[in-house]
Amino acid sequence: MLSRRRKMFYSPVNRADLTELLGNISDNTFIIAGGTDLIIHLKNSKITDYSIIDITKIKEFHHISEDENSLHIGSTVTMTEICNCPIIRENYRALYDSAYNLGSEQIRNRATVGGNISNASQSADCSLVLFAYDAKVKIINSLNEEKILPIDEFIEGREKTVLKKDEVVAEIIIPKKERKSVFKKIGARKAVTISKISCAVDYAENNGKMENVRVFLGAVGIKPVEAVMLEEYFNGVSLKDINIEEVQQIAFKEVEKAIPTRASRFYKRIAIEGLIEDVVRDIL
Amino acid sequence: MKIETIVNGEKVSAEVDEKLRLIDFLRDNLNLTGTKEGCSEGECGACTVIMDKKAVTSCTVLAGQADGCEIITVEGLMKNGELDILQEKFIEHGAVQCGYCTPGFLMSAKALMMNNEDPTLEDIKRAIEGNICRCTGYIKIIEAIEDAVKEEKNVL
Repeated sequence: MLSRRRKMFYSPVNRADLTELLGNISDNTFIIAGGTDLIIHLKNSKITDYSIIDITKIKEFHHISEDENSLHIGSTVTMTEICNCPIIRENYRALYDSAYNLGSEQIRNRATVGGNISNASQSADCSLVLFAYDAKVKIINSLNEEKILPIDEFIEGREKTVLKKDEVVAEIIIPKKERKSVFKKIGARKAVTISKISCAVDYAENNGKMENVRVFLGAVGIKPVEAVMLEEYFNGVSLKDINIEEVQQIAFKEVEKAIPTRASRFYKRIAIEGLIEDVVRDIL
Repeated sequence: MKIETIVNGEKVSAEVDEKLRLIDFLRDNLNLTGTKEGCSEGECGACTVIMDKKAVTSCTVLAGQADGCEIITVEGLMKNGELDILQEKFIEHGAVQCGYCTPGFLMSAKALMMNNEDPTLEDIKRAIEGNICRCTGYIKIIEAIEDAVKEEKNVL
């Protein structure tokens, strides 16, 4: 009797191959890129009968490019590749810092930006920065249709995104603007650490004043939280007028507002005072 | 499924279970048991190998993803019966106690030296931040790597 083993590992090399595979996807098929999150999920899930689609060999997903209006980062670009990109280091400093401090060398060599947002952890670092950048996410599906969503709509929270089973993140699109940006995190240790609290700030600096300020906090909600009170403080403020103590007080209130019932608020509302001081020093 | 890789300089073609991890492929299929399994989550670095010139934790890579790639394990450090400079320095400096983390540290350090001709102390610490050691307290490991870097620079 011939035994026909069902193929369970696929490695498409282009978008066309991928969309064909997505057309036949089942509930137990998983997309893998770097694998640093998925492998752990699979291990803990106790699912044994699964298939894998490896998207790391798809050329269309592996690029960093700029056009007039945006920076485009393919979903399988790794943290190491983000750090090695001069454009990102110079002009998208918060994204550079979030990738630079993520995990360890081994994890940075595998972890991808698409994976970071698709995993949608409450403590996700790249994700947080992309919120501050007002980034958009390009998704493709089994019919090769493209959909572009603001990241705030893409990520629902509690590790859920709007991705359907036959959809994959193809690209992250960051609108270009005159910007400076800062990212800081606090974790249990210096490296290889999940953020206990993090902050990303995106702004323009004109005549010594901060404008168009976006401030987001990580690990204080089901997804990155917009710190509206901090934005109000920073918008239009002259750098020389920034009062760190005042900022710290507002930051304290932001944490209280974000997680009024979580036990971690006692730690985080104090920790953020140190964090926000680091942020302000960077801004200055 | 069939995978084709180069492991420690030699072409390897193998039929493997599709769900196999790279660490299992190396240890079980190829009998290269130098690579150790610690946490199985990519956090401890014990399973570090070099894949296409980059340090990776082999417990988070599926064997199928290594198809077409070049892998170096700790067994590949020794050449023609001679220890790699890193291995010599680890021994010289007493950077090995129980030895379980050592292959992972060696591969992280090797990857650093392959990609950076003149790493600073900060570069070294950053390169090994994904490797945990419960025995040595890290100082001798760092000194061994520093010494290997210094000697390699003198040789060039």
